[in-house]
Amino acid sequence: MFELARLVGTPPKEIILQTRAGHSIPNTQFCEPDANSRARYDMIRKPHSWIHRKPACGVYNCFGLVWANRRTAIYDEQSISQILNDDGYRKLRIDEQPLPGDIVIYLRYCDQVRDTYHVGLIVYLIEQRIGGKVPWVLSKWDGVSGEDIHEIRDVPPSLRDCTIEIWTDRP
Amino acid sequence: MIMNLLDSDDIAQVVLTVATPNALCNILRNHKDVEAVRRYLFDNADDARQLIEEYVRERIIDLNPRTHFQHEAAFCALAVALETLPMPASENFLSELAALKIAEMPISPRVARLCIERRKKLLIFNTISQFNVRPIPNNDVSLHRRTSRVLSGLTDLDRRPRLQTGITYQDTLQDAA
Repeated sequence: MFELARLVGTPPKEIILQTRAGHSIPNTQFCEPDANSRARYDMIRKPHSWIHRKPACGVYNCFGLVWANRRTAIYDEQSISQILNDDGYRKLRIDEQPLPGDIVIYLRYCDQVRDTYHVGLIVYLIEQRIGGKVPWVLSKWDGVSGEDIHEIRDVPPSLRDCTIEIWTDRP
Repeated sequence: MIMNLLDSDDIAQVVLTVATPNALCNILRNHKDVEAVRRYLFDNADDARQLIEEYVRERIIDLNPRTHFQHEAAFCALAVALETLPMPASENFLSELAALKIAEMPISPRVARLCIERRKKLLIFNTISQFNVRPIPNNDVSLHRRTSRVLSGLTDLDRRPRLQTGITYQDTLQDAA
């Protein structure tokens, strides 16, 4: 069924990526986006008031943006837990104010199993009229989308019902 | 053709905004279009193999080296649709897709691997649930006797006199040397 794919396709490219504790993180770089993916990404952006930082590109996904300096894409749920654990991240307490550099994790629990849907990086906080500050987040939605800065809750429909957790590497 | 539902913008948007294959599977499992395709293939099991092969063949020709495969979202959705279908055609599709390791399709083989894992778990669960294990009735005298004999803990070996030889495996080895 996939003979042609095996013939035409190119081998996936992985780079050396480790946590602070030296555990290897499996990764694969994305290819450059096709015309359809670019068009779909534009369609996703249309109804939102996001700040567009970078057009659609390959190589990295949201986890790669936050934890691999835009060098590759990470996919495994297990790797995400490993990074959070090894790199000294902790969940922000309710009384703590998020700061730029903290990360936002969008997740759901399915049968008490944690499923991470997306991760973004807080880039600034905007004071609201009614008081309090709202974090704005830098995101790359997928391995072939672009980068956008958005209000923490202004996300695509597939992430709308997610639980939002803010994590930090601050002591 | 109902299989074309998998090419919908809605499915593509889900795949384009969710980062892990696990999360992707969870969303697609409850997607109405995936459910419709699963139902259709189940109802038309005789034609399933042909439908799947045709669907894959028509799309795989769009694969260009070093460019992201434009139908990857549809293949992810098809893998999830076939996840619970008890037919060789779905087994073939999932195993072939899971074995594929090319840069142009990084997500769908991972989704297929998760689908195979879940398929195996479901198969074990279904097999166990099909056993009709009933409790042993107490009023059956013959069964009661047999059960009480087992519970006594005595076997033929227990009744035999035990020999205290004191020889260990180490001793045997030394003797042999």
